[in-house]
Amino acid sequence: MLTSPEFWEGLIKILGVNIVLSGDNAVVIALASRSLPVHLRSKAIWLGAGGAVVLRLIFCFFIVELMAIPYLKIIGAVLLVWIGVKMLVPEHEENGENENGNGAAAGIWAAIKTIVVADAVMSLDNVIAIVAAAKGDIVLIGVGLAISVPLIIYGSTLILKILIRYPIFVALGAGLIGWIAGEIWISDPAIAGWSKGLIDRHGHWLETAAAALGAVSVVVAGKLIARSVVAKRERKALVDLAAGENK
Amino acid sequence: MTMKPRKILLPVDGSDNSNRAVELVVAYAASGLVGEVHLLNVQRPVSGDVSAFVGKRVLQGFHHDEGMKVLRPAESRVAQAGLKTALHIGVGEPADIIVEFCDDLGCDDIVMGTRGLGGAVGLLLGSVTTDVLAKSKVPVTLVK
Repeated sequence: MLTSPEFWEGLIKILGVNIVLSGDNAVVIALASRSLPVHLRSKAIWLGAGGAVVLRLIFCFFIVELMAIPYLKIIGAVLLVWIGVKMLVPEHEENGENENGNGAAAGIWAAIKTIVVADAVMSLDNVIAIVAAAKGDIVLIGVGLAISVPLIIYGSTLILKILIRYPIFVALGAGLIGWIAGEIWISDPAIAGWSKGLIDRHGHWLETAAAALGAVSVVVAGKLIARSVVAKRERKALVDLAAGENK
Repeated sequence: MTMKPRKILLPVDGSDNSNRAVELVVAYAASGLVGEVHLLNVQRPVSGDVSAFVGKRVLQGFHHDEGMKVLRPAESRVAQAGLKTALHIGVGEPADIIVEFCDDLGCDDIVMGTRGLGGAVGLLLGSVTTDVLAKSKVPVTLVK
């Protein structure tokens, strides 16, 4: 297994996807544990992340099963395209309604709960991408999750800084997700016979072309949508968070 | 020619280019043309999903602390030069926030570091500096 290029290719894709899609989870982990005393912080982070890994594995099992049903890989590919495009549209911070939220939670269990619940809700995109990248190989999924989750926890601040300072990595990540989307829809059970016939007749470059088409369409669509969304967005009142620092 | 001391907006992000922009303003201090220096750090917003799980106050505290980490060293550098400084932290798209603060504070100039992502990559990604140049109503000095 370790000598097969497919395994390594899959593993690298899983790590890449996990890193670019876990930014939000890393932020929640950092924020939920912020209000805790220092000695409880790493405990909350590890327990929260452990719970999150278990949940993600369970989700992966479900999705692997689902992918065997005709048309669901095609739906998965469409979802992935949407996930990739969404990555490229700048975020809009909602700050108004959620005055207290769970984040200000006092105890360690509240922090862990926030981490796990947030992860369960926010990692669905991640899980779909992982299963697609692993082409359903559950061993690969397990190894990928086992490596990437500690990487995200230890490296979260570094990863966030890199993604913010070099937006090219966000674009590359979105492209990777588009690439995976392009790869999986052609192996959907509903059309596998047709696409296999085409590939046998014309060669494997067709698979690569489908993947590349997925990558390019995600990046181009994402950039175009980002431009129109930003142009239409309403101005928010300017808030100066350093107002208290100036005497 | 006599000129009134100018109110300068100095957006900083802790990068090398941004540090060089701080040094440039410090070097200009000797001319007596630098009035006030408004240091600004812009924090990228977290996603809407995150703000559903984390309270506003925690989030603002986080942005504040991250912003201050960048502002403090720049502040002490500018203060060393005997310049009057004020600190600002905004959250949002950097170019928009920079221009809004500039209008709000009534600054005469913007001095900032470039991101260093020139050429094709810069075009594709729409760099912050290009955006500031397009939107600013005051002179912009870019440092690299």
